[in-house]
Amino acid sequence: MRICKLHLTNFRGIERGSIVFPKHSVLLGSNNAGKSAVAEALALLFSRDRMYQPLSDWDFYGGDPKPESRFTITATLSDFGDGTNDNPVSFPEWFAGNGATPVWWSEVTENVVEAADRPPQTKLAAQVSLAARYDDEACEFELKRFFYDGECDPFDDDCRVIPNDLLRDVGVFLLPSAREWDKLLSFGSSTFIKVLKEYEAVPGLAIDTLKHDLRSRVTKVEEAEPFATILKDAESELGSFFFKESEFHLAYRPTGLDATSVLRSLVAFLARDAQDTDFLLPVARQGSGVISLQTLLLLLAFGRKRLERAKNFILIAEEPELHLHPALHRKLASRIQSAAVQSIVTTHSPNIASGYQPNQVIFVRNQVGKLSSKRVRREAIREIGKNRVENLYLKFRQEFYEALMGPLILVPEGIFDYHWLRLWQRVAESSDTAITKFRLTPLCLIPTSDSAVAETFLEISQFRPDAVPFLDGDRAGNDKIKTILSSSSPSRIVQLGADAGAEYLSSWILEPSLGDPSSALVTLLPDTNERSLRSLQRALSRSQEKKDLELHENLAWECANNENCVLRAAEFLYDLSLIARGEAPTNTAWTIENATTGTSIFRAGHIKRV
Amino acid sequence: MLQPAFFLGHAGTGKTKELMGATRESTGKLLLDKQQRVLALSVMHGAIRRLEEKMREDCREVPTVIRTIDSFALTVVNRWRGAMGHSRPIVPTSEDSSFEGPFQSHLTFTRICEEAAILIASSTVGQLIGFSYPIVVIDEFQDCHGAKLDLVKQLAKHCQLFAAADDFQLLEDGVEGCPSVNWIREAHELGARVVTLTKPHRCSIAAIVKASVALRTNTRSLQTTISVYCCPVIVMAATKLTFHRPGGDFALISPTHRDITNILRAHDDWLRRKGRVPVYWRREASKQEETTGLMKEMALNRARKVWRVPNAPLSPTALRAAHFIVKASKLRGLSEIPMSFAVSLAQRFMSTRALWHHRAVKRMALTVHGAKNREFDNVVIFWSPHSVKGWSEEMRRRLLYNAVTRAKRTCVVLYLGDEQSCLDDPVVGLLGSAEPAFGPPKRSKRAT
Repeated sequence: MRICKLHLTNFRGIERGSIVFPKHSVLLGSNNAGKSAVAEALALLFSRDRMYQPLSDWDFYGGDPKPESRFTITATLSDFGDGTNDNPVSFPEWFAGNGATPVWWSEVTENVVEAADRPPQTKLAAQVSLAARYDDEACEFELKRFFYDGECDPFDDDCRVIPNDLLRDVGVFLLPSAREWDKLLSFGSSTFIKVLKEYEAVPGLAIDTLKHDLRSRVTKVEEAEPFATILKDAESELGSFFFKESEFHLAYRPTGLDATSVLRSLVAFLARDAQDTDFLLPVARQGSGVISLQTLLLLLAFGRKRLERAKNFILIAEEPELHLHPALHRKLASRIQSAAVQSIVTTHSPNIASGYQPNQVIFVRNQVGKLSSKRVRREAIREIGKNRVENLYLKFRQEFYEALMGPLILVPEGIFDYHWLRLWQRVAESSDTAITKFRLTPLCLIPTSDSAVAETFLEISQFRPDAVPFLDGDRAGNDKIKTILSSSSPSRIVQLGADAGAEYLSSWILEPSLGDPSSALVTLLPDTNERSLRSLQRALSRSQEKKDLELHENLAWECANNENCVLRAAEFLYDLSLIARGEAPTNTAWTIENATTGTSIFRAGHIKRV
Repeated sequence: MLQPAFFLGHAGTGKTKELMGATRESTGKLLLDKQQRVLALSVMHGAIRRLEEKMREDCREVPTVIRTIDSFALTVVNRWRGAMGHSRPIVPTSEDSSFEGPFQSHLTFTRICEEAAILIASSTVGQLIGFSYPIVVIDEFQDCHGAKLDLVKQLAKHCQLFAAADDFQLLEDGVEGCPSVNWIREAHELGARVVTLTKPHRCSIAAIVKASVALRTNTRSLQTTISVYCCPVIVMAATKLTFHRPGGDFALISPTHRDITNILRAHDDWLRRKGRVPVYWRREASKQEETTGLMKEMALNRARKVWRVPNAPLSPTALRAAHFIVKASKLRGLSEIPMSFAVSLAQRFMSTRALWHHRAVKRMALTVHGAKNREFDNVVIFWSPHSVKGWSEEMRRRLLYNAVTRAKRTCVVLYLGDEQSCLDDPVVGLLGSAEPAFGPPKRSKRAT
């Protein structure tokens, strides 16, 4: 069984929106895009009791629920049994009597078809929903989980409540991003108890023995002198009040002596080995990475056990990369996929995301409450076919995913433009002066191969229409602008000045250091009389130097000592970020042309061929 | 396909008992999954309680869902409302035609049953319903006709149907013959099992049995049946009612509400004149009458657009209804309550209330329609030939038959008219002899 679609209304920061899940998926999105809301909505819908804090006003969109306010979480479930049987009668616990209404999931339209009989190319599905309201008279929140048959208000209209056992059978488990040891792996945690119960592994007898040991076979603090004497005096004084010897005296034990207290007071330690229990280190003192991984592995072990018993297991993991070394990220992704019938992972890590096929990566955005989600591609890599954006998924997947989540995106014309800009970005960001003078917003760059800037922009603008193409000032650049404008209408395009390419930008940045050249610059321009902007432009444009990444690196880092160069780099990048944000650049040399399609073309007049 | 089985017979011949027996026997064979249930259906609300009692008595261990055909159809249509093209939840309306309310689609029960029949005709829904309810039991099947009967016919394709009927107990105006019994005859030709029961079980009192046979067969009884007292004026009937004090519970049955009102008023007057304590009769007003009364009390008037809780003090029922409306409006976030919304809520309130309205008390006054499917120790029938004029002779016989067969121990008819007209009456006359309500002086002395 798996979840194919989730629809949310008025939940947390999401006023309305839905998201379609493939079998295994990773949710990618910037902070506050609603990834956590999606994960927690699923956990809330499918968990028997709330694993987290009770509902609050803030679970409602806007945070001020009225009596008529509802938030709803509606999920479509499909792939019952082994996923090949589409007859609802085969799944009586779901559909018989007052159960779910059979509906039909179409993978093509990514929607549910409500029909009495199965339409072609659809699969059997069921819809379950949760609605919550605030009861202002009782001052409490009310939840209802019910079989969904279309829009209704379950608090007034008739609805069929879902039996708890059925929801539990879906087997949804959430690994939340707040992974504190005492919350997740102690006996006080319902997740942990759930895991143990599923294994039938609650150590009941051992707890019972421990309970009895704690009652009698412990060091008795109340017998230690001089505390014992003081206690005795107080007791005999107490006796004088009642004119007889007190029958009771005080005793101290480490916990409440009932099974629950004993269970809850258990603290986990790392022991050096099984025999040497003298060396103990509280696990809570361990690094977060170990805890993080251990929790995840525990859930995975649990999942395996469920799968062995032919029970469903759906794992939702929030940011599984937390506190872990990047090298472990991809391995983690593949472990998650193999251990669960369905997995939904939220992440900020392009590294984790790149472990998934583009048709498993879902880009999530939240624009003033409207949640939108889109799979990066609908097909797997091998089906994308040979085209000019293929490299985006083959070579530059990680950069692409990173850019998707970034605040501002620039799509440079070719690979060398990309490298130069990235280099200058690093140089500028390493300088305190530049950071103080210009508030540099992180600008994500997308590598484009074979100068496929138009195609790459088209691809990324499906997710980020605010991305800005960055072009050379030569004729090829002009042609590409025409191509871009013929297939899409970006709100802004950046072009370098007349006949200028990225090398001309670098020359302009390096210009202040010509008087005091660094060693790389000296090697490039050995003749002292030839050290002019023009000769620098020529030298960098030569076919060999143009591709010499090592030279570029040396030139850039060596000029990092020259404050004026760094400031030029920072100023240009700052102007780029202003343009990307829709504001006016600081350098007066910029010119703006309004193209007919509503696109503004910003030209850097100061970067030109001399 | 499973062949349905039917039990036909007169009132009190043990149809229901046979029905329960057949159900119990087939559960072992048909109820295999723990999700499966017997679906016990009744046509009218009033029969639900009786069905519940019977199921409890005879099919104690059998997991059962008891519903009216209407409410079962409503559940089916609501579940598959998307497939039927309704975007909103469906609620039944008592109006003549279906309409869209602010939050719900209001459909007539006829339409609801029609749509449910269409759904069950589809293979997936039919199979699923057939799996969920392998056995469908219907008592008082004679009352089932029109869209309800079509729905049952669809159900019979997927479920084992057991039904009991007596065509002489159908009291619906404008229904020709008895459609359900006609269908049973057709089904019989196609192989359905039909058991006809003749031996009376419920009532062993010879007089009542003879009276029912006379009415059913339309032959004047030559022997004495139940007592028929002729009361030329209503006061005499009222007096007779006062002196009639049998043991056990007691129902006053009359063909129309107006007759009941008249005789109870005369009865009250008589008691007041004699300075006696008034006697409490639990009056089961018609649903229609109650709803109209409530609508008036709560100022639910379609002429206005917005409804407010009236300032005048309200009766407990009206108060609860008002609370119901206000609460529902608050849930929907309405600051002003649209009249149409308030009216549909009031109707919903009344229809859910009707479910709980059938508890027996010592003295009840009800119409023949209201008494349907129920039993009382003692029955007094107040029969005014004038009020039943509008009905056909056949219908009048059915009415009287139904009233007479409600009795378990005693049954008395108070006929409004003199002896001669009583004997000439084509319906009451069938019961044989009639006697004056008050005979010679010495008899009346003995009575006091």
